[in-house]
Amino acid sequence: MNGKPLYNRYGAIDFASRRNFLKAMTGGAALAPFVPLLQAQAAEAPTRLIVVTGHNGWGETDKWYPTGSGANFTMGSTCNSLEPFKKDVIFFKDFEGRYSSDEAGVHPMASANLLTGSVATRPAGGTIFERQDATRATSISIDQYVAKLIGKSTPHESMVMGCGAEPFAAGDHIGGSVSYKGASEPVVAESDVFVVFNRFFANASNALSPPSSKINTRDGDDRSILDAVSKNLGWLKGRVGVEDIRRVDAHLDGIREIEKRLPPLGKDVGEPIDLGMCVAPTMPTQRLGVFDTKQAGRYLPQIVHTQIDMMLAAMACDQTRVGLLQIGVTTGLWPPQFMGLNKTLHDLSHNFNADMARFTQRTLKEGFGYLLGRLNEVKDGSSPMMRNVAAFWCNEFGDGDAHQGSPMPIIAAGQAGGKWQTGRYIDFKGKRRHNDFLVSVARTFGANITKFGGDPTAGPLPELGV
Amino acid sequence: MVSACTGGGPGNDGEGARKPGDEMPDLPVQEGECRADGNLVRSPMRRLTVEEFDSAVEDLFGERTTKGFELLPSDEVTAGYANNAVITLQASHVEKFQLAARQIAELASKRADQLISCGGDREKCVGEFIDRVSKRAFSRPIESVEHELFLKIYKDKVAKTNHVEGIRLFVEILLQYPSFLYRPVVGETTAQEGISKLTKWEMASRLSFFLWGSVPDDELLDAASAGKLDLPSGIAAQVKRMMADPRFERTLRAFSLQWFHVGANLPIKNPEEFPDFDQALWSSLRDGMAKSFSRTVTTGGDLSAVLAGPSAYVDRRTAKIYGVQSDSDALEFVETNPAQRGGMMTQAGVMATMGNTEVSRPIKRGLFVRNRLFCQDPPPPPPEGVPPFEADTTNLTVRQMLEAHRTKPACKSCHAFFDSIGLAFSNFDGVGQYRESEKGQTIDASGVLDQTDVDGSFRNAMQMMNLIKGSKLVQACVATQVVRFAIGRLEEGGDKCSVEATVRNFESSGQSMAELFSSVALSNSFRFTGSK
Repeated sequence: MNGKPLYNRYGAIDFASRRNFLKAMTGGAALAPFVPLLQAQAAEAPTRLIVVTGHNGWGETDKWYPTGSGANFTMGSTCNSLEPFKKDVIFFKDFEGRYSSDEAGVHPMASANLLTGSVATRPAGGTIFERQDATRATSISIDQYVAKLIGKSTPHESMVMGCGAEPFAAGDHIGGSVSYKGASEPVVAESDVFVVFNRFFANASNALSPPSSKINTRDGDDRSILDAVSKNLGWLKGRVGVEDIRRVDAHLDGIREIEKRLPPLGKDVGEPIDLGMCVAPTMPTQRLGVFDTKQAGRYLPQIVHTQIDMMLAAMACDQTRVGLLQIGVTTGLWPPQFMGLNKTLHDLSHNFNADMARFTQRTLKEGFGYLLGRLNEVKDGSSPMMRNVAAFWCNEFGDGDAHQGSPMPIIAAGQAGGKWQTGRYIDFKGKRRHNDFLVSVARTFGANITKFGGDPTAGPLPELGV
Repeated sequence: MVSACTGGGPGNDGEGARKPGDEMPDLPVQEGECRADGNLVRSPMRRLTVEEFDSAVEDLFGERTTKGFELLPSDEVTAGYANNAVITLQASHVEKFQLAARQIAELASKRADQLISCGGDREKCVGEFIDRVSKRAFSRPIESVEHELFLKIYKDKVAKTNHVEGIRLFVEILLQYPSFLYRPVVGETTAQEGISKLTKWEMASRLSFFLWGSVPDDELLDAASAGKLDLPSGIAAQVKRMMADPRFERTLRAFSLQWFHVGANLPIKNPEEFPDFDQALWSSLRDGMAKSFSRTVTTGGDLSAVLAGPSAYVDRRTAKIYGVQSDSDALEFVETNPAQRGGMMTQAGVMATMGNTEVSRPIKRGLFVRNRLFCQDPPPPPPEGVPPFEADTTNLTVRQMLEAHRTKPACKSCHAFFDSIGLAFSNFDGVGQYRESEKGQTIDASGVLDQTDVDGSFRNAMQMMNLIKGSKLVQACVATQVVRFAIGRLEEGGDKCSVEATVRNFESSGQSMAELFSSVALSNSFRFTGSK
């Protein structure tokens, strides 16, 4: 760590200093203590997982693939923003996703399959209208699987964010979720950067609701509340059926996770504690138009950069070791107006392939490309964070116009603490199940498994060597 | 209200009027010779929707906030309605409830003196306040351990700070308390295997959330306590009272917006085509649509009024879209030109939702009518899959493009299913404004309705809707929509007789929409649940 804020100041937004920001928000009181784990960086930096998703396909097939082979390749024009980071990337051709496509409304089926490797489920009755909204994944997604493996020692198991991943018109966004803790347990991507900031860098309980006086009148309140809630959940659990017990248990898990992060009694009063070498990002002082969650289509680059900066700061401060950023959503009823386009993503993916390719090119640049640039800049002990990250970008469709999850594009990056050999273009010369890749990711984080999700797999990819 | 049963006649529907099921109130009503396909399934535990949360806060503490809408996680849609019946709450969601509860509790505690008027022993008054508010919030009497816990938390807080802070903390707990947030339906076993009857408290909760979108009031809880909700006639009396209460409009609003899939978020339109289409206008369109539905139901309107009645609410923002004059800030009732516009489908909010950013969207509109009015599914795509459509469509109108689709056998089965219905709405542009021509060409909205029980040809949307309103399929589908909204799940085999009876009651009431809501509240699927 070089002691400078990790945060990059974007454009014309008026940023206050972090301390002023917090002061303004909290009235001077109450910050959750940080755990400056990376302080001396004496120990080896942990390996982290970062997933970035794109949606609705790549637009134009002939602009997607690199030319060349092995270590000697040139990115296709849609991926040209990744050209500078080629040494840190593994480009795969081709994976095969699998989902039931025997009826219309296939979008959420594909999206739920993307990171779980299982065929999603939907109710049998009703019409396609009701079934599509009720589409749910049937197993855990790879990000949450890895979070369970490596996230227990950090305050947050994972950080799941979205930009334009929420509905922009009437429509479902649960069905557009990619991250799942288990069957029918979607982790809904958080699109509000303020919520994420407060969750990870301030004491969320105090930062958004300043106490009316300088005396901290809330000391111990959260504990009392969570105790009462837990007792009532226990009471409820003894009364409801199996299917509802599942939901009571999940709520209890959530309570325990929050309790773990509560400051000790009496300690949530006073000045922010020194974060040592780990520096939290700054935030805008007010909700400017840019960070209005309904404005993703106008300000996508700014939002995504901010989210990536927050993710890397959270990782540098070891608040979490698993991050996911969902850029857009399957179907996607919003137009990418930041590019001057007024048609919805869904419309682009079906009727305007050239514009869809431009959209994919641009979001790769602002999302995954920006991430790779920052991973090379941010120091993690003595090496760039790139070395200690296993990252990948993926999309539920290759050819979105045809709703094809095969080929399914996946681009990996980062050296995963030395486990991944990057700078390669791997052409399988035929299809490979995308579950094989998910198995390899799990193994990268120490899971001794040969199968992930419900779909068939040939086991880990020999090419990744894990 | 008109009763569909044999025992009660018109005008004889007050408390005491016998209802089918009164003789054997602990068993489902036997619906003629009908045999269900299996037992009732268990009712899922539902979590308050965002709207229900805000309404409950209003009913419990006397002041409405929009904190739920601003801060809580979005609702989960199951069975086509916001039911929050399947997915789980995780830490990140719980934090949002924490935040909303904190902000509302701060506001409510400022009015502690109004909430707890007390002449004597303050601790005693607070104890009574805790019992009273909790009973409504949980729709059951508070358990003694809960009473002791809440009172202890209050007293400890007062010892460290003051009375207002103590109340603040109690309210904050209440608003995160699972017995407030969740509505489990467990029931009590009956003589019929696999079937449980909702307890009186569960019935009070189910009734109030179905008809008011919020917590019960004291009168409903008193009726429950007195055992009146055990009998269909007792339920009917409460239903009648509740439907005459202004809170019933919350349900009509929530149901109509969700049935027609008109969400709170502005559907984004191309600003060059529709420069005035902003959030304020969108709110007016939605509110107007909900009011129109509400007016139809509460003034005794029938299904045909819902589907084709010339009713709209318009203010100065939406006047242009509806082609009328208005300087009013408030929504005002207007009659639409019945040859052009009438019924819910042609509400501008519906047409705009099913419009594109730039143009109208016939496929979406057509499929919607099939799915949500007829409860019909499109035929499956051909087994060999749907090939990409490769014809040059650059200079074709939407109608020509769809016609080109239908010439391909692989596309035909689905497109024939929804194209014609969707094109009937071609007179409505992307924001739901009526027009006679598009790009200099006269619009042709004519077509043929097929694969229904009211097949026929039409020249425009209103002619089609006037065919559709006579459909028995639509009659059954609309009744089914209310059932789904009420029970929080899709109907299954075990609901067959109950749904059929609801449809019959709907029909024999002259398709009265009010009678439909009332009939659902008395139905077996509403009063009973599966126990396995």
